[in-house]
Amino acid sequence: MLIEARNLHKRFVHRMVLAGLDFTIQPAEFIMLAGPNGAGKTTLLRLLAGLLKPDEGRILLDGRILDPTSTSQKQVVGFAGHQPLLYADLTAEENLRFYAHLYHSQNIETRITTLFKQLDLEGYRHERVSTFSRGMLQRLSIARACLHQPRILLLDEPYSSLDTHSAFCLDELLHQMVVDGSSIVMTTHELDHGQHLADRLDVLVNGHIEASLPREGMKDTSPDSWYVQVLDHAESCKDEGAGIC
Amino acid sequence: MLTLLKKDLLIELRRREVLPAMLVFVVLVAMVFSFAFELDPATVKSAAGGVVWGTLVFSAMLGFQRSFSSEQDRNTLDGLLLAPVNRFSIFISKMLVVWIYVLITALVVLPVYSILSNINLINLKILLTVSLGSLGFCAAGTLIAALSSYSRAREVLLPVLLLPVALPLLMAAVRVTNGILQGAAFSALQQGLAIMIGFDIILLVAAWLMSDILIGE
Repeated sequence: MLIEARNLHKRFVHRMVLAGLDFTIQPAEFIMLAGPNGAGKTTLLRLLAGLLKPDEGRILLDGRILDPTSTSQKQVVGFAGHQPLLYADLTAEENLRFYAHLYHSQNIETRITTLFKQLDLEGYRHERVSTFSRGMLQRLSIARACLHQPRILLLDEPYSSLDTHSAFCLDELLHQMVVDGSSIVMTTHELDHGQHLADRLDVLVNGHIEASLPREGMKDTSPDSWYVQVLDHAESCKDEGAGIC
Repeated sequence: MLTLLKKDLLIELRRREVLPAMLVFVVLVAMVFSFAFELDPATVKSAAGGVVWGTLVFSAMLGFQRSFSSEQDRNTLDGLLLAPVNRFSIFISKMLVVWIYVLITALVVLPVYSILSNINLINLKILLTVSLGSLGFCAAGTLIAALSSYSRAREVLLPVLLLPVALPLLMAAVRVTNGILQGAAFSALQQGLAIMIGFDIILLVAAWLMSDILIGE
């Protein structure tokens, strides 16, 4: 198992965001994570990336407790969230080169060129990031996260702001990464995107994984209607105050 | 660490956000002091150390304010925290950037104040004292900038926390600078130099021990 999270709790001031969440990621597994706004998807990804510490519970990466200060563990993880984590005053290439040096990446030139081509950013590599549109920032941010060929890639709504062609480019990139053995966890509100790549669709509601739909299930059931049913079920359980249904 | 340092200097070269403000500030302060002490040359000489250090300290504040907050304002600190970079390296690179700014500022203020006050401040001993003293001051300032960067009142917290911490270092630096200007023997400066070196070491060790706690969630 690549990542094993057990009994994760995370609270922000008075709001419990994650309440006893269990989550596992296998090598080369593609997991789609859906859930309503505020369900805790971003918080879960930030915990898995080591950007937040759980209040309770533990996360194991390759069998070792995830340590936010461990440089060897950071080498394994790539993360692209809502913020692009890019420097507006540097060009696209300078940004990637900067991060490539931080990650001690090999063949920096080749890797950067490949990612620019894969994400259709080749024509913008010498332009400052401050001139980029939201969609271009999103693509460059994904390139930044993939730069060091992480074994686990955490993507928070990567298809948001992307046009059809860019979404296709991202599909191709993610497919290639899974083929190369990377695991991917992707949060999304649009279940169409990445569905053909996904091994599992998890629904996060009320701070825990409410239901999981495996790849086989996605062929038999419409993931959209299944997702709505899960949300309805979770809502009715909450209304009844039972907690467990 | 060099990658981080290079990135910060390149961004400053393009934005010109901190260093020009520091340079304008020190020249203005040097001019104000020189006019204030115009009629009393003896006071000018005995106050020169205080003027130089007062000028450098307040200009350095401008650098500290931006050291960590610039990463937070641009939402790029997470990018550094995600990367396999030792947090002490992040601290050191931020400290070195401000130290470089302070040294450049000193290279401007020393000749300017020398001309305005008619005292020779261009002196290798003074440059070494400024380097040594400002290193410790930058370590303290960057440490407290990291500490206060998560506070909404960081602009207020920084000087309030920093000045008491750095006071012994600044007193020693002013004393050594004045001693050099008045031609004191090396033995008379030893105590002040020892305090400055001790302070530099203590603050760097403190930063090394605390950087994992200070930088991050």
